[in-house]
Amino acid sequence: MYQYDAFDQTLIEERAAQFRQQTTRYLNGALTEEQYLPLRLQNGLYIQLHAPMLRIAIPYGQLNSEQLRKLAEISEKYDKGFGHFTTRQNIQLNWPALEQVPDILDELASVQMHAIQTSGNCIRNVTTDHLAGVAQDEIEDPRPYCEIIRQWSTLHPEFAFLPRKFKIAVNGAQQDRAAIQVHDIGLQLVEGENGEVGFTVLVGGGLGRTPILGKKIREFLAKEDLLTYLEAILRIYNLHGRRDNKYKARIKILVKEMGIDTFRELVEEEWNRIKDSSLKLTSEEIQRMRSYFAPQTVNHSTGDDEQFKHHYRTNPDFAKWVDKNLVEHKNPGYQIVYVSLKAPNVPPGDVTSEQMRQIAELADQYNGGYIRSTHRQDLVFSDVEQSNCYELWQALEKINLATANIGQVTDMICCPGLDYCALANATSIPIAKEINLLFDSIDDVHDLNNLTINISGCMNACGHHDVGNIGILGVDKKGEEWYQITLGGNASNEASLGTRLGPSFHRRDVVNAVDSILNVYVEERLPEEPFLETFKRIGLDPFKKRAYEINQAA
Amino acid sequence: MKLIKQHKIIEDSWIPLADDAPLSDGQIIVSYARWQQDKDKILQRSSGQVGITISAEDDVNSLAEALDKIALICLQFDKFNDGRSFSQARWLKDKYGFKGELRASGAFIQDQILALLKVGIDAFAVPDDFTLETFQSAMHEVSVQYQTSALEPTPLFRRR
Repeated sequence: MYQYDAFDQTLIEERAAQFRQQTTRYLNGALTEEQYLPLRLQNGLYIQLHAPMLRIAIPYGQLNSEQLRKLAEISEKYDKGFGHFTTRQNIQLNWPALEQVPDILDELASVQMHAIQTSGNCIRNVTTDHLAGVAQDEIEDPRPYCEIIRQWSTLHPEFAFLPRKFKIAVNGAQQDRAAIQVHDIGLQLVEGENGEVGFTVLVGGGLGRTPILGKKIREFLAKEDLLTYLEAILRIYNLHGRRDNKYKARIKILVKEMGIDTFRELVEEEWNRIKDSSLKLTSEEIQRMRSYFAPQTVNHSTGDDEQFKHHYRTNPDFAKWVDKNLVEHKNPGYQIVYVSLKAPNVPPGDVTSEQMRQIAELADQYNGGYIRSTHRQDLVFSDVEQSNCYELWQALEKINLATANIGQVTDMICCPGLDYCALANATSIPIAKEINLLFDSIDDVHDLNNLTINISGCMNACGHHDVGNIGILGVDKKGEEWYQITLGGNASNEASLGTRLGPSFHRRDVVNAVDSILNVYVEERLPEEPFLETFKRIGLDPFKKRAYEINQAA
Repeated sequence: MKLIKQHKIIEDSWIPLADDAPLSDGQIIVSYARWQQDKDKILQRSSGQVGITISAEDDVNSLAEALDKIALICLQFDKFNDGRSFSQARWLKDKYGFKGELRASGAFIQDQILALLKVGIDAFAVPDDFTLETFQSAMHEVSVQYQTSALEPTPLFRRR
């Protein structure tokens, strides 16, 4: 994991002090509401429906136990004793007092954390594959490049007032676990013709009101050219992106309206001007960054652990958890372990302060003190020795974090919705809860392979509904909550946006509609067939027919 | 209004010329529209330098050819949160090597001063109650810079 040096530390301390001063000026009237708005947003502070919300950065999902303990302490001291992990790998506090936010930032700075650019019209927290560095299908570890991008984008003097927010994701494996096709810029590490590794660059993807998949702007970019190329894209966007309409201000609209070829010409012209400037990365810098992400494991090559195999054979609950929540590590003898934050009747992504402390403890004990957050709002222990898995499972069971449902129906992505968010049209967490109740016992869930449900409370799509296999979007109709359902969305390699099932459903009918859809799937699927394949094979109609037969739609 | 340049409060010797006012000699600032319309006449005046005010919408590339004849470019902020002016400044300085005064004017706020200096702005038109102390503290709020800028052209990764 990256460790701050004196430069990094000074920067976050000075930034926290600056924010304290800005907040004081706002509270004494020297800064207007309008002026304070972008300043606080660039420090992660929203004013929500009931209270401010503070979004704390977890750069590309990497966290250590000391930081998690600090988050536990902060969420207890300044909030109601829990935090909410987001789809951009960050964590949110939902009830801090505005006056205390500067203190929270100081506390965060003491453990190399901050809330810089977690919101606002600027370059946001860069995200990546939560299995980076340990996945079997990896071309190269993306995290050194994430850190390079994090530093370049942090307080970039030119790009703090972009037309709209800007999100970058980097993927280093063959499978896209970072949803790069739905980001403003998506970077995929690839091997070039001569065997050297570089990036394929996508631009203009995004969810929200106008969901679009990213277009390829450059097939191969050398690593050294990463920052100059990003700077060229951002400059063209900053100058040409629309500012007349908030809903048309994302780069996806610019690329769409201008056409990818014209956009590419402008970017490449600018890039050719700056590609050999001092911003060109050096191999020393790349090497320095890589050294922070050295493997945490040694190659045992001892094969499977006997105890592990024994427990797997004899304890069906453990076996279920292993099947659903564990992934093969690139080194034999180790496992990648998902910590599910989707226990039934818990809002997706929520953890209590006490759970945070326990997770930190378990991370120290079993995972070298490291924890990762995923864009599906779960956590990952990346390097657990196989022989420790049984103990870890028992410990996670005790704190309600061992639900065997990763990648399953109940591993839903869900935004905070109307319960917390000022933007939302409809509730989302209660819908997630009711879908959970659909499945009386966890065994039912296991009949449904590889099916994702994503829920957003409004068009801003924080719950990524467009790329859920089943997507649920809250809409407001004359003060009533209605829900639009889409089927067939997918955030991975063969990314696709969901197709609308039909007219939206009333609050009272939406969960029944999901039930109907799932029943059609169970009836129609071939053995082991994932939902997406069934959907592709039989099409929308059977689902549509059943969902509207039972439900009264608008 | 007063002017802060090179970290000092100085007398503003430039005279803004309304679009419908007759051309005069001396140090005048004209609008981008006026410049486009009367460019030749402005450059043929018997004496005095010319400055141009550009807004966030204007295309700085169109100034490229005449840039050595322009002594001042004033970036007008109609809204403080319109970030185009930052990239305009960057292009004027880096891409076209503009050597004249690059001034910020209008709705920008003190919290943007450091970033404005970094993109190449070297003069600030500020309200009369704005103090030099405020300017200086704004300049020093964050001392670390990862990127390239007019204040420090070498990115941090080459200085570590």
